[in-house]
Amino acid sequence: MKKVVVKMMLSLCALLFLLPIMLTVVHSFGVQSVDEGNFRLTSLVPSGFSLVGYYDLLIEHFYVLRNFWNSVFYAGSITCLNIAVSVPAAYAFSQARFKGKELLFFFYIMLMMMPLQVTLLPNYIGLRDMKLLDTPLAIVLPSVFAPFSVFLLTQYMKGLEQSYVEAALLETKSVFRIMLQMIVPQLRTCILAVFVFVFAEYWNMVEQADIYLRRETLKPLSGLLAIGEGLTTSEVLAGSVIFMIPIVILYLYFHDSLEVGLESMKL
Amino acid sequence: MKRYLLKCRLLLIPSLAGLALFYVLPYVRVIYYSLIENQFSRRFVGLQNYVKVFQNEYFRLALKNSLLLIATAVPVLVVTAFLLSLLLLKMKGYWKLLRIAFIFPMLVPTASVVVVWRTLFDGSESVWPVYLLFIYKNIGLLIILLSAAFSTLEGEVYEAARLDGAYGFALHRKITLPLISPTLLFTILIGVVYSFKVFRESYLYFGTSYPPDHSYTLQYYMNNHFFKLNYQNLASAAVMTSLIVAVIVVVGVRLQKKFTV
Repeated sequence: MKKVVVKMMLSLCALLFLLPIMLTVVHSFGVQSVDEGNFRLTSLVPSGFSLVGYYDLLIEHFYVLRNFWNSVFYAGSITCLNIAVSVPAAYAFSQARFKGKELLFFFYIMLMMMPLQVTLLPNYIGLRDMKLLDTPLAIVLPSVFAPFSVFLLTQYMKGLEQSYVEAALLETKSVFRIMLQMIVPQLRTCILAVFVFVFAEYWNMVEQADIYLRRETLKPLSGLLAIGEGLTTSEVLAGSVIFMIPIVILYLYFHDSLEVGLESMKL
Repeated sequence: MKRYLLKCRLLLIPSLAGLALFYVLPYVRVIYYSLIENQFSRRFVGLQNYVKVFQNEYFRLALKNSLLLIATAVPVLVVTAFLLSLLLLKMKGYWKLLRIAFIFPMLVPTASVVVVWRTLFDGSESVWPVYLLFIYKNIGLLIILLSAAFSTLEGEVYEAARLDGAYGFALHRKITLPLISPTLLFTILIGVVYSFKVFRESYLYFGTSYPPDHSYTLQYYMNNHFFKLNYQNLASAAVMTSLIVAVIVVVGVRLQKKFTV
């Protein structure tokens, strides 16, 4: 009996959590009654089926697709490069011994905890001095070095068996080969978790695009949707759904890895 | 082996170089900017910029609102996550999949749900929609962390404690709480730190750089000064914010170490 109550309560909460997402999907296929000025709907149930939002967005305002591909490019390249930089760094943190290692690692934690509004200004100044503002690199480069992945991978590695290294050293002298052939396979779960998490974060990026980029043609879709400039509410809804698809796919495929990987997020 | 360990250090170089280039060195310049009159005169004015920022009524409003968010939304976030993970722990088989509903919103782009969010709250101009959006976005991560901690608890420890005569509430107070408290403290720390990141949700919800007064947080202050490119003001606000967060992190980590047995 008690268990049934718990199940019902949890299901109710779960529904509540999914409601905004479901409503977005439903309304994107519906005839909505819309309060255009404020980008919101005036009724919770659409009054009929319609693909007008998708049509307008994909055919009339086809240039929005360009911003979609920008998002793919930014989030994809940031995530891949970020992992490429972070795996070696995390490996170094778990293997190398040097003075001040703990302190350096604490610096990574500190940086990871800083809100964007603190790091935006240093990033901006760095980019300005390198004359990279208003280029795609302005979005990509600072984020490649974001320390979250180094932190998570290092913590994850603490739970791994380390004795193989001496054995591996008899076979090869290349640190790189040891890393690629012995460590990376063991890190698979965590790397996938980092991939999904970091990708979602930069897919969702708003502020960087606002501040580092002037040209509309370079902006990712996230900012455009949020402000809705030049789009109708039904187009924004259709765009929201299209924008969610890559994240849904990634999550459904990798949610196990994501959860297990993120469990290492502790001090 | 020795050479191997030496070579391992080299693997840190790309990451360190990037951090130096985009974070550390520019941050030193930020400190420098916060101490001069302006970029043209470059006259050293000590802490004058800081005083000016602190006297700015909008900065104080922003600081107050940011602290209020920590004091109200963070406890709700942590307690809700705690209860939900306790309940989710009891779910077996297919019912385990309920977790997905709570974790997925963490990844969903805020921009995607914002139209519906405005509708659900009828475009309300109070603080609640944004507080709830903050909880909605972050609860997944906390549930993952807390569930992981809970799942390590089961079994032997409890049996041993029962043999020693601990039952019910006493059992949880003496065993569960101490074992879970490092994780709990970490989730509180994450909640506090992430509350400083809530700007995006608020910005998207209100769709403007000038939200109602009660929702004007530190991040708005900084974002808006960004567009004015008032470096001195921005730099001192950034340094102050980073100091506040740094203090929170150091205290949080210390506390956690103290409670880890």
